[in-house]
Amino acid sequence: MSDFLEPFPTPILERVNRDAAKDERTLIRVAADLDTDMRFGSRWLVVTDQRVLLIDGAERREWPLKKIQSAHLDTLVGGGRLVLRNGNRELGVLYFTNSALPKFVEVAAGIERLIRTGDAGLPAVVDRIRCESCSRLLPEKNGVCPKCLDRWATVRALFRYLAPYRLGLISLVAVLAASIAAELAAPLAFRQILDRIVVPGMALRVLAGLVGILLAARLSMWLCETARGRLSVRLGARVTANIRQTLFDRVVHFPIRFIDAWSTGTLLSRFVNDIARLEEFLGSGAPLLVMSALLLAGILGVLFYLSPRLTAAIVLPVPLIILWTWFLWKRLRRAQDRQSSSLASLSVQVSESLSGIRVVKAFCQEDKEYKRFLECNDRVRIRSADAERESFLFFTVIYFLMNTGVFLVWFIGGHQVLQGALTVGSLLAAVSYLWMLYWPLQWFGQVSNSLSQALTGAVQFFELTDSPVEEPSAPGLPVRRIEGLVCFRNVTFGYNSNRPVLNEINFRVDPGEVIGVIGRSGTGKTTLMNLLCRFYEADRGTILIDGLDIRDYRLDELRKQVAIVPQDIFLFSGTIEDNIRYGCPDATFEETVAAARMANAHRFILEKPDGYDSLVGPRGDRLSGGERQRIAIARAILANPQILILDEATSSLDVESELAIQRALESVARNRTTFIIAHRLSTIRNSDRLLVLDRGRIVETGTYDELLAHRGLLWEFANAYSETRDLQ
Amino acid sequence: MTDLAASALATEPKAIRVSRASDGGLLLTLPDGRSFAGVQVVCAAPLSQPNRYLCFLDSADQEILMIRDLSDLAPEDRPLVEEELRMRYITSVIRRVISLRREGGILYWETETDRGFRDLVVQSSDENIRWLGERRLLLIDVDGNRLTVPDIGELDPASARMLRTMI
Repeated sequence: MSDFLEPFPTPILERVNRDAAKDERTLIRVAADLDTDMRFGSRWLVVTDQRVLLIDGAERREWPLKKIQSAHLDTLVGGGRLVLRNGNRELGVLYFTNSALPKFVEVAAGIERLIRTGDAGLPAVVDRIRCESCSRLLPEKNGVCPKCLDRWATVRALFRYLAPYRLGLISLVAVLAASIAAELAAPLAFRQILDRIVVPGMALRVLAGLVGILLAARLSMWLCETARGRLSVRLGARVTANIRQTLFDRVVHFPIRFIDAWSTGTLLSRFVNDIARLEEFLGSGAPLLVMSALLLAGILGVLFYLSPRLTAAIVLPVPLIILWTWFLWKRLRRAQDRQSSSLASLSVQVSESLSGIRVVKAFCQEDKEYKRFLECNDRVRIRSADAERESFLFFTVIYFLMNTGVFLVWFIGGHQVLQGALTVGSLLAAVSYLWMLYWPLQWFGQVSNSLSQALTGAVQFFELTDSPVEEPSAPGLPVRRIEGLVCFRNVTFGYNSNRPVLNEINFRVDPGEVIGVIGRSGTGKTTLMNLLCRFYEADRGTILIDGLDIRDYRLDELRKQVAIVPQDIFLFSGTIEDNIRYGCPDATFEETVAAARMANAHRFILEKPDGYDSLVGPRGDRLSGGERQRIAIARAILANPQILILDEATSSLDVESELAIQRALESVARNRTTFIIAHRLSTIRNSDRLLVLDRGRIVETGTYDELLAHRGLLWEFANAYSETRDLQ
Repeated sequence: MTDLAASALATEPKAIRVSRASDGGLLLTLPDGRSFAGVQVVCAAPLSQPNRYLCFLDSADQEILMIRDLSDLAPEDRPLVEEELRMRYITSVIRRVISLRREGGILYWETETDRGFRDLVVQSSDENIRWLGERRLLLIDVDGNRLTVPDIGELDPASARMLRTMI
């Protein structure tokens, strides 16, 4: 069943069916989640091929379909409304929250289509933006929910990262086992000394042998400890390096829409904090955990051998400990979660203050930034203290519970010695084992502390690595040479699907055409180009290059042949030459210079003492805005794309330099399609054709002169432009 | 008042007329007789200054004028504008938190609001959980719905405790 035919409650269904015509077909049946008082409830909209009904509890209004002349969707704040109109007259209004908005966007478009063409043409399903089982927002429409992935898969995945180090791991475990055997041997030797020598007074030769065993046990324990330290540190460092590498590899391949959803600070914190925790855990926590577990098993085994009854007494507090852990664990975890989130916002704040340091200083706001930092820092302090307090409470109680075991052993064991069922040596050995038992248990405490943090880190890490990445070279898609025929068909898109930035965009550009794109700021010019580069996927409609849907191109091939000079230029730290060759590292120096010359950059580069070897500084800070733009243009020209997009690429240049670049581009633009986005009319005046955008729609297309004669929006721009020029 | 501040506001707010047109839209008539159909009323700062600094936009979303406060309008026109604002800002007010649970960075809520029961999912971040001042809280759930707690101190103790420990 279609998602647009929602199941009705029965009484309403009966009422609707009662007076339905025989051959009447229900096309749309959806519930809005706000009632007429704007309370949460449900009001139903039913559209059949003959009627439109609004049903609100007992009240029902209906109109013949013919009477509805428009169905308009208004986006409000936190929701929206669907208005049914007959001419100028408002017939019915339906309010809903943002939860139902994506559905009603389709419904409104469907009713409009029904009125115009007689076919609602609704998609079979609404895009799923939430996970069906946990209703968490999905990182991608209809994608997989990272949270509902198999838990075991997380653990298994962690083991996958350990697999290459099998040999190291096995030797580590062997060393651990040896050290534990040595540790367990000591009290046993001690017991023999007590029972056979001190109490009955036996041979000196045996004593020497037993002391020798004690010495050997200590020595081998020390040796094993050293080996363990070396092995685990090396392993931990390697595994985390591997994990960090995987994470970065995933992140750079994420779709931009997904990266938009994370702040850079949060991603940074993933790299720094979470991975550090994983490292700490794998390096020291995990071996300690294995060792503690082995030691625990060994001690219990020996204790059982010494006296089953004593062992029972020692194990008695264990259920209490488990109960306590179960009771307080969540609180501890929550406190730690909050601590880590406050740390993340601290790093976001610091990186923001530092990247904006020029603005901070220009407005003398150093103290304000300092105060903001203090607030964040204070929050970290409070939350860290909370987490520490929780963890202190947690472990002291566990320690206390374990101590009750000692009293029990002295009491029960002493009783057994008095009865002659146990030797003094065995009792003392049992007590020293018990103290040994506390060490691994304390370690368990410490380890589980780092374990919990490491697991949070691991889950957050897998949350990222399990998110879908772009497939740069999907198998089966052929490599094609693009000619440059670009076609947009009914393309609608919004960064937030509720608010379309582009609406029903249709145009066609022939290979080799130079297209100027103009419009007020915020009308979607850059977005249009982002879609062409497939940084984002259109919500509806298709984009064709050479008649083929861009989704059917290999992404890497597509992006190689579509080059963009973006509005906000980004240069990487390195030399000018490196930056120009960024997209084609194989280019020769001659080609680099030729591209720079075309971009009108050659001259200023030569003026620098180090020429093409000049360093640009972090983000290109050492160059002026105009210089950065020209380097970015050279970078795009060198990539030799079939489709070239210049997004305000010459806005920081003086008119003369801009003209020079345009002339150079003309000579290379012969057989490539070029899009030029500009505010300045002079930039796009010589284009073959112009697209004029206004509020997400293409309102005019044609040559500059045609549009001027048309006296539309371009004419307005031109007037405003000439006025400002007169002022100059 | 400085010149800059004065330039932001309409000069004669009391002389502005707002009425409902037959098509259901708003009609705004200025003292000089110019009138606009299909007018929208928006709050300039709906979070920090709700119901103050109201802007009237024409059907092409161009600003016509701004007034400082609802009470600057003629009394008979106020209910209409108030109604428009109520319909435009679909922000629910949380009266009671029934349950609140945190998993990873996600908060799962069941709440009693001024519009009735609502369950919601909020991704924990500074953008989705915003403190507006010391005691006022704004939540934006994964669908983009908005809910507020106007004063955390006025909630019942159980709800307030849940909020304080979880956020």
